[in-house]
Amino acid sequence: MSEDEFEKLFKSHFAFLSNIAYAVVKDEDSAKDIAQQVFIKLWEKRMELKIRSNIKAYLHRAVVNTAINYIEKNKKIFYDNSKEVFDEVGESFDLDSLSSEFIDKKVRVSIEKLPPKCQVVFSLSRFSGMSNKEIAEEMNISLKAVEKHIGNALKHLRISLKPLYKSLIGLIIFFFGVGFFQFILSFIK
Amino acid sequence: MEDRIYTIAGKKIAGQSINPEEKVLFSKWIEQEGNREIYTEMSQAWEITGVLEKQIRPDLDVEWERFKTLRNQQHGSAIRRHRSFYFSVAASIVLLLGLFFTYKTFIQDKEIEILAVGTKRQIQLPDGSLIWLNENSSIKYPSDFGKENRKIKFSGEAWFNVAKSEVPFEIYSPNEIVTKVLGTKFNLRTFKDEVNAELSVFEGKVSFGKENDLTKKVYTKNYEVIINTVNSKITEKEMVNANALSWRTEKLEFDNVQMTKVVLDLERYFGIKITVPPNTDSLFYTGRFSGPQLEEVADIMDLTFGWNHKIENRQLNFMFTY
Repeated sequence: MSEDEFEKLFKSHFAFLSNIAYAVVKDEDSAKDIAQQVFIKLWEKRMELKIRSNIKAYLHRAVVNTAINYIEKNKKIFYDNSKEVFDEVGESFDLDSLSSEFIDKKVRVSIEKLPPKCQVVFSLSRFSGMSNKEIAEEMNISLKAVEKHIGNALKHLRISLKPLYKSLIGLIIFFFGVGFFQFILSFIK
Repeated sequence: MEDRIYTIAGKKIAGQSINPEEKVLFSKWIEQEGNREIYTEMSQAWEITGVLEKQIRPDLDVEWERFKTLRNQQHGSAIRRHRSFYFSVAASIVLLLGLFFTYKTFIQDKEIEILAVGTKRQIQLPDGSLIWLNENSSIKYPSDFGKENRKIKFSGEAWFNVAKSEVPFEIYSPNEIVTKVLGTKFNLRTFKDEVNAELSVFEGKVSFGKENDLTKKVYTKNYEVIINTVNSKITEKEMVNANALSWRTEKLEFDNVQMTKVVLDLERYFGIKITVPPNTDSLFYTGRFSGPQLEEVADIMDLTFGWNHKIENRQLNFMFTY
């Protein structure tokens, strides 16, 4: 494979792959780094690899695996049933404090508290557009296991995110906005 | 059971289809007190996580450039690792060689060896002494010869003209024969495979004998000494044999010399084996040769004694004429 061919491949897949990574790691720079890593590996192996008919699938799997490694390595918050996301003293939940940054942060933390595999499966299911079957294949686990992970994730998220949605109308409007946005997106894709 | 329900609920919330069995289980569960609320909260959790739903839009040109940089770094560090490995190997070899040659040059005793193989050689030692080496002879001396010691290893036959010095000139020959002088001229014949070690003194004083022989004597002018290296027997006599130096002077001189001695001198001079007819040991010969050739000498012998000769396979055989 020549450099020109490689460049074409790179540019046509980079965005897609970094979004897969982003779905899992939820950090833009890390997501792009992961995608870069995958392409570097591909470059190093470009002579060894038999020309796969589906490089995209190969890259997809590589990104997912790299992202999983990233999560497992960087896991700072460990899942602890007893700890709640809203532990901080003096946390108030009036409207003013419900800025999008606040919500963003809280949701992130909740997801990060999930056990690694569970977190990855949930994130892929929720954010990457992959079907459960695809997730099962990429992660080399059973479909049932994927479904279990999602159920388990929601079981915990329900509790950790309770204070957030327990309250306000603003949130509901936000939900609708988000849901609507997703709805529109599903047509664009 | 609980987990199964969560799984089913999760499928529903995520928009996946559930089979009839799952449907039944779910309906049963949700009818129970409080479960509906749990289900609602789960749905809301799913919804609210949507705030993180985001697409990033990387700048492809920037990322491609970044890729190339990263790639070169990887490659570079691999090469640097490679190169530095080979470099350190090369450096180690150079260092080892350096140490080796330093040792050889400065530390290891340097010895100079001179060989006279198929020819005669004249050499001068650092102290001014002259040595004429006969064929198949050799000397070895250390590079610091002359200042504090004058020791040489010697084998074969040589004429020594030793420069006068307070430092004794010592010659170590095979079969433990040691010869010591201060300054003198003498001939020394000490071959490893010859039983006899021979010394002929022409000038000065020469100490000559077996290394561990404390009764070694000093010999003076015109003395010829033969030491049997096997039984240590010493034979001394005043020099009569003018032919001791024939190899150097290229002159053969026989003054009423007994045949056995004649044969010996000729053998030595020409380096061949000579046989004479039986019962001729007691014959005496007188004759002089200058720069003699074997044929020439043989012819004259023939004439003198009425012999014939044949030369074959490095052997000269005299026989009676019939």
